[in-house]
Amino acid sequence: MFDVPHLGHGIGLRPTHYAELLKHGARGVDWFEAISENFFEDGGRPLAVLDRVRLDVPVVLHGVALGIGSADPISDEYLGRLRRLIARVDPAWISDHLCWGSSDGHYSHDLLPIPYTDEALDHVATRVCEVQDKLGRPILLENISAYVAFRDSAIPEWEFLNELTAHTGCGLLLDVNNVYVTSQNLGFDPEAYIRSLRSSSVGQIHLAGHTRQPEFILDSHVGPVPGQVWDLYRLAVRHFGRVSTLVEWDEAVPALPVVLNEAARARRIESEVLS
Amino acid sequence: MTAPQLARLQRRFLTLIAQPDPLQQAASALERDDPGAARLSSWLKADSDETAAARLGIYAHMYFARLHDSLREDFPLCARLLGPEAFQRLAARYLVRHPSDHPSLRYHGRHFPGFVRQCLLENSEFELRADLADLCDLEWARIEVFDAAEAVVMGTGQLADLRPLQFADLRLRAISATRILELGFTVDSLWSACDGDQPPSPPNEGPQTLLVWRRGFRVYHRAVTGEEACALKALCSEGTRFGDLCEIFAADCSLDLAAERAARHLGQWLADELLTRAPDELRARKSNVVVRASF
Repeated sequence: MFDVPHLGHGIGLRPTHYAELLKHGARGVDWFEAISENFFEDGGRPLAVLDRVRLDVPVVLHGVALGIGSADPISDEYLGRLRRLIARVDPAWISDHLCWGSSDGHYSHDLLPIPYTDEALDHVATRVCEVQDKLGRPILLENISAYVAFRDSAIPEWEFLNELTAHTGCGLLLDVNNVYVTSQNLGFDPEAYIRSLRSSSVGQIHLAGHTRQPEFILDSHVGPVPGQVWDLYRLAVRHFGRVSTLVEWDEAVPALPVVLNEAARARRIESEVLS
Repeated sequence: MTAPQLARLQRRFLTLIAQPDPLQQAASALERDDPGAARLSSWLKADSDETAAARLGIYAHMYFARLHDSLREDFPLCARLLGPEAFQRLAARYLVRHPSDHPSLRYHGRHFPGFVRQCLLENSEFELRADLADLCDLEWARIEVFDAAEAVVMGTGQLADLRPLQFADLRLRAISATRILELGFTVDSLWSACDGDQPPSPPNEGPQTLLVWRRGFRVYHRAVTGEEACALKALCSEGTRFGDLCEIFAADCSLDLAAERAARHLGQWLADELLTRAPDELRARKSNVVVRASF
């Protein structure tokens, strides 16, 4: 069983806010999520900011390049760097994505979808266990936004996630925006997706903005959290109870108080739903 | 779907999104080596090959946009010199020739200076300034120094207690966040012009040696000449004793005068916060002297 503390309503640690955080610390922030790979080097301003905010609040490490669904072997060098960072930061937990990103050593630097098949489930589950063994702790995996699905996919994504978390003991980082984006792009009911997830597996929730294009919705992480995503968040809180929640804002990142307002809104909604 | 089938599917997917041609055309070209790739809607859920190509195209667009943006952030002055259109064409060629081979995007640009140098040698269709590769070397060195490992910086206070005879044995080396660039052109003035939005002067042949280092969180560079350049190379490669530094400065003067010059430079390096104490037993370590010649 995956068990994580409730940290409240945090935000992503982003370079736009580094100067302010170095000067004033993490005032008014429940917790930060840091992109692991941005702190793999051994010095300089990014690490100093991470060390500074860690003095004030809990930090969670969120990776984008583990490639748990890749056919490529998991990089020992990558895991070594992650282990070093974990030792330095002592994160509340660590997470990455249910996706692949490289083939034959060529990295896309994107979060690419896997086919949801029994064989893929075995493949990913084996690798999750390998990573958890090497890191000595369970991990959370996040559902990604997708723009295409494979003909071979025979299992709905939510069932795949339920099976994966049950078989490996890993947790789920439920990205509510990604559920919405993928549901619109691939055509499924986002509410049914959330209701179908096993509630004990959800260790964290992500909220973010997206961009509506003529033919699809782009997971852009720009702008405030849209209304449809707040609606799904209400459903998620009803279904999963109190879960540590984080607002991501990665494009045209505004001043810290603006991002914190979004986290405060999530806090209010959680309180309203659970009252 | 077996593991080899998964590997083939991922290879097919990435091959298609990481190439610049229209997707259906690229999928057809792939068919010979990867039977089944051409009919996109046979392996992607879509009502037609056109729809499948459009969906796959979202990933292709993001692949090139993300890596192009990363290069533009790593080499902002090169991008400014070339202008958006020419830089985009150069970056697109780089992405095809040097697919990213590291999990972290931080390293994707590390081959770019060499790629630009190769383009200059090949006299390619890109109309590049002769000093552009050297400018890229400087921009990349600044990135390497930006997040290089921390070191315990030596301050003047640590020298205060040394007796004159102990100075000769003082073991010094440059902090990890230091690079020495030996370039074919004088690019420090070009960098200043570009950084200040001034019109760049024509390429000016060197050679030029640049010292790049980090003090606190800020990255600096400055041109160094003659004996200081030689001394800094010794400090960067494995560290050296102050007495040996004096020998470097004594090439064209007495040892007393050399010691005076060395001490003057030592004062500057301490003020620049680029020295740390070398281990008692000077060990060989990875050199951070980088030689780049563009002739």
